[in-house]
Order: sequence, then C-alpha cells, then structure tokens
Amino acid sequence: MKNKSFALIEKYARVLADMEGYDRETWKIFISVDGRIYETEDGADFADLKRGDVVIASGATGSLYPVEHHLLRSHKDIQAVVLSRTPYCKRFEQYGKDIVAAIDDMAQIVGYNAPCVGYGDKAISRALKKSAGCLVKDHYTITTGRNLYEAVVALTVLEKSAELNTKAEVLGGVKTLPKLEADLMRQVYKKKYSKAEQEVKKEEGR
Amino acid sequence: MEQKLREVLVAYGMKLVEEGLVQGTWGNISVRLDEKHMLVTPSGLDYLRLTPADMVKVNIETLEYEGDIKPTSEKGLHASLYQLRSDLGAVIHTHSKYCCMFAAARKPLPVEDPELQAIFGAEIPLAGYGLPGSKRLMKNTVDAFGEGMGAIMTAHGMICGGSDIENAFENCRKMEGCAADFIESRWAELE
Repeated sequence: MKNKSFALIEKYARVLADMEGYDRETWKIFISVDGRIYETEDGADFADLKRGDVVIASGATGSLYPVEHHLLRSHKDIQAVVLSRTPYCKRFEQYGKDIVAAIDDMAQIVGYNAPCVGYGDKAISRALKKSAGCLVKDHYTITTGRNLYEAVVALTVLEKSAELNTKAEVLGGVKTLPKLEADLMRQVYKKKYSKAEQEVKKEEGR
Repeated sequence: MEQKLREVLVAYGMKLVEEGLVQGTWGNISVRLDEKHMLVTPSGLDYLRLTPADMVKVNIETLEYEGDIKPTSEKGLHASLYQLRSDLGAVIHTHSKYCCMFAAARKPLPVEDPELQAIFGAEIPLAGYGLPGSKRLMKNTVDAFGEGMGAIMTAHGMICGGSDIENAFENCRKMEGCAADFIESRWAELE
C-alpha cells in the first residue's frame, strides 16, 4: 500500500477515534484510490492504526462489505465511505427515522435528509443519491464524500443534527427547512466547494 | 497594531475550535481595526490552518477588501454591526451545538442566570430566517441584535459581540453555556 494512502486513512481514523460512541467493532473506513479499494480491517484500533490494519480489498474473492464496495465503484461522487454508530444517529437508526435538516449546515454538507433504510444495495444506493449520509436500520450510519475529509465532516454534521433534532424536543421540536431550499443550498455548496475542501482535494486526491 | 490583531484572530480561532464552539471551516470572527476597517477570517478556511497573513482587511462602509484572499461571505453582517454599534470591538459567529438547538427550534434563548442577564438581558433574541450570506440574513440579524450582545440566527447559528476579542469570546462561551444549561436541565427531566 502506498504511504500516502495509509497516512490519509491513519489521519482521519484518529479523528474518528476521538468521536463519542467510537467502537472498534463497527467503525470502518473505505477509500477508493486509482480503482483500488482500501479498507480498515474489522476490529482495527483507529486510535493506533497499523499498516496491517488497512487492506486492499479484492473484488475477485468477494467482500464482507459488498454494498460499500458497490457505492465506491458505481457513484462518481463517492470516493470515501465511513461506517459508524454515534450515539444520536444510532437513536434515529434504531427507531427507523430519517434525520431531516433543520439547520443550514446539514442541508449544505449532508443534504435535506439522511434517510433511514434497510440493509441492501438498492435502498442504500438510492438514499445516497442526494445525501452524503444515510442510516442503515439496526446496522450503522454511512457517510460518504469525494474524499475522506468530506465523509468525516458529513458524519460530524449529521451527528450534531441528530442530537439537536432530539434534544430540541424540550423547546417543542425543530422546524425543518423547506426541501426545495435545502436542495438548492446543497447544490450551491457542492458547486462552490469551500477553499478548505479544495485544498484537501488537491492534497489528498479524489 | 494590525499585525498584533492578525495574530490575536488566529489564536482566538484556535480557541474556538478547542472549546468546541466551531468545527472545520464553519463560523467566522472579526475585530475592529480602526473607524473604517475590520479584520475578518477568510472564506472557507480551516481554523487550524489559518495564519496571520490569511486575515482579510475589509472596509466597513464599502466592504472592499485588501489582497487576494476572499473574506468570509458574512462580512456584511460583521460590518453592519460595527456601523451600528461603536462599542463593539469584536464579533463572533458560530454554529455551536446548543445555540443551534434554539436556532433549529426557532426560539429565542431565555437567560435565567442573573449574572448573564446583566450582559444579555432576560432573553437573547431570535433573528428571522435568511439564506447563508444573504442580505436578508444580514438585515434580520442586525435588527435582532439591536442594543444587545448577541442573537440566535434562525436555522443557522449564533452571533455575539464584545468590547474586544477577549470579551466577545467570553460572551460566546457564556451564550453557549446558557443554552446548554437550559437544554440539559430540561432534557434530563424529559428522558
């Protein structure tokens, strides 16, 4: 494996290891580089990732994660995938509820909503057409991006939205953004692409 | 003086990240440089990567800026507050979690602690909705801010001011703390 690819995964694995709810058994990172898919081994310690914890997944022998591989191979805007189970996203996922944007940072970075779907190629693929994240009922949260930076930021923003959508109940609940406006914000954001993300894209590739 | 303020902005950007008040490229901060100018953080740059040279000098009246680095898209909001309030020396806008709960519920923030009431009044007002970076967002926020020290921005985040950056940072922490206390005390009962 190239040093650059490992360094990239190691860098963001450390960020994820610091997040609330991190557990070695569920959380995984996948990235696609030059047609190859790199993934972290099941149970890898993100706080202390070793070279042997990242493997090149072979399409020929099949994978334990066919859905995630399908996403990386079939969506041009998905070059990185993070599987996680943060506390508030998990609540929505267990209840089978979508997380809907009530704050513009979610609309811009994730999309109007993060749908909750059953495990399966088609449902997940459809859910991630317009959103950078979805919840897979009784499994985990999937966030995606054109690079690993985007997929990790999407998770951070989604977990914040899940928490505020939950706790704002004490204020009578959130008011979600109109779908049309949220879709527009997402389009503008993706086109404009902030400077920080452009820098990351340049440094870390797509 | 300008160089010193550039360094101070970098330091306070990092402090906002350390305190969990901003993440990544979100939010923006500014300081008044003189009667006609302010220094603001640039558009879309990660706080942990910022250098003093990245801070942008902007004319408060015309919004013209010096150099090649683009200032935050919320520069108009900062400038309007400096024009409206000569006592403000610094302004901070964040998407901090607990203030965002009020922003998402579209509710003003009640201030229960008498010590905080002395700074913010009995309630921190809710500014009407506007798209990010829009004139509507700017106008609604400036109207709500008025003579106070902060506002909740509908579906967006929070904004606060201070006599200088240290004071604005403290006010920012206090506003988020006030929102956190309100939510967590009631959430514990609900759960």
